[in-house]
Amino acid sequence: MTALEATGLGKRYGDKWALKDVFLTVPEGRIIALVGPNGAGKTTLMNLTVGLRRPTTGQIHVFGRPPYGESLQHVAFVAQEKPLYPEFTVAETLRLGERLNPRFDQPAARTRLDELGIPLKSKIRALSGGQRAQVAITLAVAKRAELIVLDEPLANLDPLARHEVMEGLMAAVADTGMTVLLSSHVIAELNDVCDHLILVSGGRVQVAGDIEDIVHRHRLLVGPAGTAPAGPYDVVSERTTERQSTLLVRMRGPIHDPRWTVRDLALEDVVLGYMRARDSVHLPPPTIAGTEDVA
Amino acid sequence: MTWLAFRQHRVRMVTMALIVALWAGLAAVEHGFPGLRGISAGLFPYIPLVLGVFLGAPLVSREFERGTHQLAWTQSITRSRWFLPQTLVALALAVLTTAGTSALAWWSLGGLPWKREVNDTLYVLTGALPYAWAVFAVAIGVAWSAITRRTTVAMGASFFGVAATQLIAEGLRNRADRELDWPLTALQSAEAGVLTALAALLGVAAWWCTTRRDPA
Repeated sequence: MTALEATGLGKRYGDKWALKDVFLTVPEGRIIALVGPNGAGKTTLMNLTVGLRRPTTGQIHVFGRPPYGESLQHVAFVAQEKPLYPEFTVAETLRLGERLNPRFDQPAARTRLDELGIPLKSKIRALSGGQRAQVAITLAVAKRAELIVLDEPLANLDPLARHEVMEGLMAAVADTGMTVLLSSHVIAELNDVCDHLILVSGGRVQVAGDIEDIVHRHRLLVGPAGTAPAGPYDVVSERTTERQSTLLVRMRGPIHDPRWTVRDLALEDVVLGYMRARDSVHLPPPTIAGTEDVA
Repeated sequence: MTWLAFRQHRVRMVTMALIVALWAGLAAVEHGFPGLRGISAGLFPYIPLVLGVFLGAPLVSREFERGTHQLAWTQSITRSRWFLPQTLVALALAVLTTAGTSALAWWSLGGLPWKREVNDTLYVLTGALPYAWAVFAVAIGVAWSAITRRTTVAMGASFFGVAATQLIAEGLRNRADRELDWPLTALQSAEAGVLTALAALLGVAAWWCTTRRDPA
């Protein structure tokens, strides 16, 4: 089943398009990294996914339904600043979740907070930033939605809290099999946990697909300046010095050119290559496996 | 969501109870010293200002200011089902506060004869009229709250909105009293009806801004 599907999705604020012509299909069960520079449209895409904003053009579907009203039970959201009511106790915050969500798993939430050593009687305002993040994420996980959307879940957390938040989230994913969409502008911290990538920049989706597949398809070619290696490939970005050219390419077949060295790339390098080359409109972004099969 | 609305109004419930308690103290003093009679009745028209500013104006904007709309509106309920209990609890609280303060003001007058005049303090203290003002004040507060999304701005706007409406209403009721040969109760009912209709319009505007507009 498709967890998230966007067709011709666009969002305009005033006369500026925050997102334009977004087509996406994300299969169920993935842990999706939504990356891109600041102001690229990550938060807008997330807000559209959880029904906080309505699209200007096109449609968005979460598990086949638009994310409004009753369908909101299929998607949980943790906003970047992890908003909670500061005057509530932790127990009251869980009660809020129970009252407002038909499938809320109160026992699991209590167990999780107990493990983390967060007392139910504490007021939210008395908690540390890391604890608040944990409560907000626990609340969203306990909703038992099929898709959980987290906007920069690790921002403003110290390294230990980052580790604990990520660990807790992955444990919940293992228990429930839910699909996770999380954003960050630091790719390195998503590398280990995510298996799917969406790169947005300048309001459009530049790369989308399974991370393994993306890494597998891209290579760095280094060779003498003024020449081009023979073989089927698309250039994503290139840098040339006086003597040597460095090309980031998407491979369509093997390259056999003795003058050129072919190097494997880390995900971060591929993403950076695309970010640098975001105005190169002649470069088609790789499409996701699902849609490619149909085409 | 009703639970959430009650929980979020807890502090405001205590505040309103305090106002009624203060009012009771004032009324008791007036009752004991008949020379002071009329103070609480004279102050009563300020009650709607308090209701608009403290019950209406924070209702939606406080969520925006704290970012908690992103929490409240992404649970498994529609925004309408979030908005209606919040507004109804605020209205109920306003009506209860009005009931308490108007009854106390009435009692403090201790059987002072009503002159049955449109300018008498008792005109706005009797019948459905005080409740209509309470409902209108909360509605104008919630409407400004949902439109401006800023509590301080909404508080100021609803204060002046209620005050201006009171001035206009006073002028209109005096004129109607002079020109129409209506009994005073009919005049009160007409005023209450107009206020309730305005409140309904403001309520719809607030609902529309909350449920249909994108968050900032």
